[in-house]
Amino acid sequence: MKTKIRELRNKKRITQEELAKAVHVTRHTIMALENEKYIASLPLAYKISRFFGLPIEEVFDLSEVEDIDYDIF
Amino acid sequence: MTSFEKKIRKRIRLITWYGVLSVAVIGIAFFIRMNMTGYVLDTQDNKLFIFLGAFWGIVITSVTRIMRFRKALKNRDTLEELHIKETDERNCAITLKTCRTCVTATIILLAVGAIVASMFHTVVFLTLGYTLIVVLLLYLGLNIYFSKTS
Repeated sequence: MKTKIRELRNKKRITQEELAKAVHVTRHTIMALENEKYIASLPLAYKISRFFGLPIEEVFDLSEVEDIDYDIF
Repeated sequence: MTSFEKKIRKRIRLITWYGVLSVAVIGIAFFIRMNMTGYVLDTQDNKLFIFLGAFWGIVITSVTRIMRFRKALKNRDTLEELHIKETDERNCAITLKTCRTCVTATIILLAVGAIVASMFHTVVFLTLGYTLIVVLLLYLGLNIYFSKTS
């Protein structure tokens, strides 16, 4: 899923580590979100959006939400 | 964070009990084995080395984990780091995926192994077959349980 996390983080001049600490996840999770390798859960998406003071749909691109494939492996 | 602190303290107690009990069981097994051989240390006896390996394995893992948790309890930052690492949703998702893949692979390998073994050795075939049945029953049981509770 496409996100604006990197863009917003750069605008706020904060590191992945700082954002990770603020939303209580590891830096690897932020990195995976920025690289579109992981889809955030609703609580995490909410926490990140609240951190940037924006609604969820402005941070996460929900247009592809129907194409998400929850694969077994 | 206090509930996590409590969880860590509980874990330390459990690991200590697990370590002490396991070491006691291994110690008893060791002395029973020694009694059988007339208290003569036979270096050719493989079972003694299995006991020794299990003993040191349990002691080292228990002590390492206790030390890690005690260190976390003393330092707020380390405790928070451990909390984040354990509750991180991506880590949880990775663990879930790993477990799911592992169970699927185990079932497939057991089934293939049982089929191959059936051509050569009945005991191996039955052992693998029963293991497969137990794994499948456990999987189905847990699946029903989590379907009802989640």
